[in-house]
Amino acid sequence: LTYFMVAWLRVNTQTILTIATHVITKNHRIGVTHSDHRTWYLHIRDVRESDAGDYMCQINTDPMKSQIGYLEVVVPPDILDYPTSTDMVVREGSNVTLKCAATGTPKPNITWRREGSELITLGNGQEVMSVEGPLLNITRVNRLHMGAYLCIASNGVPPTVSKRIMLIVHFPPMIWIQNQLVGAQEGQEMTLECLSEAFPKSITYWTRDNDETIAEGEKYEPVLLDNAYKMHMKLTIRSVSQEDYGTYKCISKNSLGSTDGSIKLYHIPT
Amino acid sequence: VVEHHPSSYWDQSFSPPYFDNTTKRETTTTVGQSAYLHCKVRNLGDRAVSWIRKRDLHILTVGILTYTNDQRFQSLHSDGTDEWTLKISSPQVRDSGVYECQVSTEPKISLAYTLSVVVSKAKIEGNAELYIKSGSDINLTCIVLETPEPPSFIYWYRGEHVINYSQRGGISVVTEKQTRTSHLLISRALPADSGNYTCAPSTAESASVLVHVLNDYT
Repeated sequence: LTYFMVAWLRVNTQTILTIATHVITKNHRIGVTHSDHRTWYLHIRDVRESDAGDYMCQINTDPMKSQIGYLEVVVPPDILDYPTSTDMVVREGSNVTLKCAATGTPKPNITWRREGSELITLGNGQEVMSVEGPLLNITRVNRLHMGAYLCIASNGVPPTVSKRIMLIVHFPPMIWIQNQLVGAQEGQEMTLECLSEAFPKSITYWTRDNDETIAEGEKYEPVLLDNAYKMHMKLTIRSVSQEDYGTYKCISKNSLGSTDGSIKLYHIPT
Repeated sequence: VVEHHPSSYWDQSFSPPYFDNTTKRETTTTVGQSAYLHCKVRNLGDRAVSWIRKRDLHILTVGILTYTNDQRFQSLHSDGTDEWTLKISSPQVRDSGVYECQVSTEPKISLAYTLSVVVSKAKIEGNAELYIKSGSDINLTCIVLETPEPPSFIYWYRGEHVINYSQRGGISVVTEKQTRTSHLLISRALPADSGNYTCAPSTAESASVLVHVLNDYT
């Protein structure tokens, strides 16, 4: 091969890169080396995605001889801000679609999971650990769907990336009462309890027969334990006396509505 | 007054090369007539001008060097000029196609040139064989078809030899370059004028007609 010259070209742009030991292009990332004039190496430093494509090795025989090789450039996945969903707020009972779009080479696979290894409930009621594909459709959303969803993009090129999308479900308050009839002796300490669910979070309070709001004081101690959209309302009445017997109401209100429940405290004679 | 300075290091580094687009980008030539593709690049600096054949990406020339081993291709350039010409000697019909003048900037800049190599043919009007009575005139009209340029000359042959107008009286040849035609008139033809007459233009394939001058026995 001493008499002939080896040239390298970029096929898609039809650009001459090197001829023999000379770099023709002013692309400074290109280099050429050889061993014994037998093997010729084209070097591309700091490879970019745009470098992917066909490269031709050409020998100036008559007729000319050439071979083409393909350079694949892999790119780790990246999740696009658009059209990937941002945090979603929906009414209970409506349908929602979470979207996730990612770039990368090869094309990334999208997997949906819930944070904390919770299961995803599909439209047919089936519960699964994960869902494949860029769209996650949830029909008739309920409060159990509320929480953080992870869109995970992977294509075999590390690192895999994920985005956290909050699904927030709005619904009006509801109240459950375990014991609607409670008896107490005079002088006893008694605790009334209501359970409420609402989102956005409700404000809760207690009232008496005359719709008078019960304030915290020496007599009453309202306590609220809340966990996400669930509220556990307690009202402790210290040293029950004659005037404490009657009907109490626990009330829960949010932007979507209001509801209440009644508990009757009756007298147990000593 | 605008003065022209030779390009300095400053110019080379900061103003990118560009093509002078005034050159002809479509060239037609006939088989065998050398073709010239002219590429003009301003502000070349330390970049190289190359010619490649688009069809198969064959590199032809780089700067003033010829890469291809097809000796018909040659780079013409005079020092200090902006012109880089690709010369294709003895072009053939298969050389027709697109050639690219390429500058080694990143990304490259390029200009495409279309070369058409045509086969130009002469045609003599009338039949391929003529029968003429002795004493009448031989009148032949030759037209050159599909030639990009008018031929610089048209020769007439009888058999192997160029017709010598002075060898006998009564021969006239009228050649018009613009209409690309040539008329041969031989008045009062005799049987000895019989033969194979050929019209041979400088840039086209020749055409022939067989003329028989018949003795009149009636």
